This record gives sequence, structure tokens and C-alpha cells, in this order.
Amino acid sequence: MQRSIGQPRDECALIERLRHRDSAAFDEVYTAHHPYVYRVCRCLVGGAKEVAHDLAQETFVRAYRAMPAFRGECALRTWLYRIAVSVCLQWLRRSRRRQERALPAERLARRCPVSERLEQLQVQETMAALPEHYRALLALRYFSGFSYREVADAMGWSLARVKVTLHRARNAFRDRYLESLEGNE
Amino acid sequence: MTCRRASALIPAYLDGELSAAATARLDAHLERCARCQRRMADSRRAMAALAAARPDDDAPAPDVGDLRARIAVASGRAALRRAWLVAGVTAALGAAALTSALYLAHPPGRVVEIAVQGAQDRPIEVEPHQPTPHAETEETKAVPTPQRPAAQRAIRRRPHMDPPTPAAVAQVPGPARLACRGMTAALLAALLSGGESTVEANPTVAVVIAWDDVLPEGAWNVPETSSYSAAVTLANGDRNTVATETHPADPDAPIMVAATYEPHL
Repeated sequence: MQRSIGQPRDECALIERLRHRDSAAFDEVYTAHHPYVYRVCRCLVGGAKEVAHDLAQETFVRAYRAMPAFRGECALRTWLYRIAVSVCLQWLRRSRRRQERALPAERLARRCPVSERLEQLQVQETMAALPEHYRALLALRYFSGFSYREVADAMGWSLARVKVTLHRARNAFRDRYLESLEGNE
Repeated sequence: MTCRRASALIPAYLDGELSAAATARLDAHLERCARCQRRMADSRRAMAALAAARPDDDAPAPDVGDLRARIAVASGRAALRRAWLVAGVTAALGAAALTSALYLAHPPGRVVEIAVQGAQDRPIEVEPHQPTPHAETEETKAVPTPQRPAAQRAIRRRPHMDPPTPAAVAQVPGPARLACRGMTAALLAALLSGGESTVEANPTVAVVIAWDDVLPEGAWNVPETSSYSAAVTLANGDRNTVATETHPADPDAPIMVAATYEPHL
């Protein structure tokens, strides 16, 4: 197997073991990468920790099943991030559909939280109202602290596409957030 | 620089992503534009709020046992999906054969092409086979002979019944073999016995399926309906299309089969 740029040599051996369904190797990968994958899930979906844990576990389930097809074109962690982003985006889409089906009163209650953490909740509400891919970009960049290159790898996008979309996402976030503040003042 | 352009650049400015030249132009604009200064203050506030809303870094400890259990359940679901794919495809092929046999009473045509498409768009290799032109089973008696082109018939079959006279042998690559007759019953028997089962073999229907996953208990979370279709083109140009709908979540539900026969004009 060819080693990709930035991929440690011992990772190649690990990937080879994984492709042969070596469960000890998978446990090793899971233990080493779980905190990072969990963090990405937590940043992307916000909300309850249990949800982020669930999505992190789902990421590893999918990784396990897709492992024989993994050719090592990118670093293992980047590949796991890509799966995590896909799992989270899917969850966000489902979650949005559920929310759209919810009763108006429930939606209103979610939109008007009375809490000391009003500003933080307003950020969450604003994020929730953005398109999923805007939300994912903002979370990876500002919550996970990824560089543009890392965001591009995790999304499976080109660097140029990340820059353009992130620019739009930031402007959309700012406008909506300020609107929500004005609405509450 | 216009106010509109300045406003669009402000988030990138705060993120440190603007070039030196663009930063200088924006600074120059901000010095003389009170409106954009307010805009900058607002943006700074929004981006600061975004950064402050970062969730906690309190990752729970990895839970290997939980992960293994989830992997086992996911593998079981995949095995069920494959099983139902095979059931649906078999039903579609069987129904195609049945309707071919029905409609080919005059003059019998040779099957030259069989295409099967399932929900997963998985290609299935099928051996061309000479259909029995005058086969008359209980099922064939139940369906009236068509009198006009593009006749459509719906046949309701119970899953425990034997399949109609088959026209082809479908093969799905896999390590284990499941010869089935009354396919739904056979597949369910295989699932319940933990992976592999051979029931009374029907010499004209053989389905080989991948059966590499062990089905764990409680893995009955399968899609409510699965649809498959099969199209048979005969040597004389006639085309026979069959669509089936199975209900994997309900073993007692009948398999719905709809057939369309289009004579070549």
C-alpha cells in the first residue's frame, strides 16, 4: 500500500491489519481516535453529550464496515473525520425534519429559551437555522479549531470551495445572529 | 471600497484571512465610515459569541464493548437486507417466469435477456433459460390469459407458498449457499438458525447469497418495504416486466407482484 503525504509509517501497517479485520487493531484505532471523533461530533451537533457519543460510536461502526475498502489515500484520522461529518450531517438533516414536524408551540419554546446562557443558546439557535453544510463548516473551523486545509479534508471538498462557502456561512451566521439579538431587545 | 464590499469582508478580516492589501483597504474605509464601524462591532460580537459557544471538551471514555455490540447489530441488519434482496429478486424472477409461461402460449419465445434491479441497484448475473410455454400451475390457473397489449395483472401470493415455475438461476456472490423453495420461509429459517440453512431444494431455483455475518438477537430492525423489478425480453421482441414489493418487517405480509406484458408490435 502506498503511503500518503503526512501519514506515519506505522499507520500503514495498522491500516493493513485493519483491512484484514484484525479486531485488536480496530480497538487500538478506536481508543486512540475516539476523543477526536467525539469532539468533532459534539462540535457539529451541539446539544446533548449522549447524542455526540452516539454519533461517534456510529462513526466507528461505519468505519469498521468500510475498512476493507479503505486504501489509505489520506490519514486515518482524516478519513474518520470525513465519516463523522457525514454521520453528523445526516443526523442534522433528520433532526431538522423532526423539528419541522413538531408542534408550533414546541418550536416556539425552543426558540425563546429563558436562561442565563441566553447568548450561548442564541448562537445554538442561529446555528440550527443555518443550512447543514454552513453549520458543519463553522463548527469545524471555530469549535474544532481546524485549519482551512483540515476542514477541506474532513468535508471532502476542495480548499477553494471551503473558502467560498465558509465566507458565506460566516456572513449568514452574523446576519441571523444580529437579527435574533434585535428581536430579543 | 463600497460599504457593501466592506461588510462582506469583515468576517474574513476578523478571522485573519484577508490579504494585507485587502486589510489596508478595509481599514481605510472603516476610518471614515461610521456605519461600517458599527457593522464591524456587530460582527466582532457575533464571531466572539460563536467562539464562546464552543462545546465542552469532555469526551467520555471509549466504550469498546458498546461499539462491538453496535457493530454486531449493524452486521445483522446488513445480512437481513441482503436476505430480503434475495427474496425480492427471487420473487421477481419467479413472477417473470410465471407470466412468461402464461403469455407465451402463442408462439413460445426464447428468453434472450433478463435484467433484475433491486433497491440497491446491485447487478445480478442471470443465466438465460428456456421458459416452459405451457406450464399450468395453481397460480397460472388463477390469472386470466391476456387479451390485449400491455395487460397488467396483480397477483397476491402468500410467502409460505412455493414459488412459481422459475425461468432462471440468479447468483449473488457469497461464501454460503442457500437453496430455497418457498423463499421467504427458507430465508427466515436461515435467519433463525444463525446463518445457514438448506431446506428442500427446488431443482430449478438456486439462490446463492453472501452469508458471512452472524445474525444477532434483536436485529429485526429492517425497512418496512423493499421493491424490486425484473424485466425479461424475449427473442420475439416481447417484453415482460415484473415488480415486487416485500415487507421485511412483517414476515406474514404477502409479497405483492405486479406484472406487465408488452408484446412486440
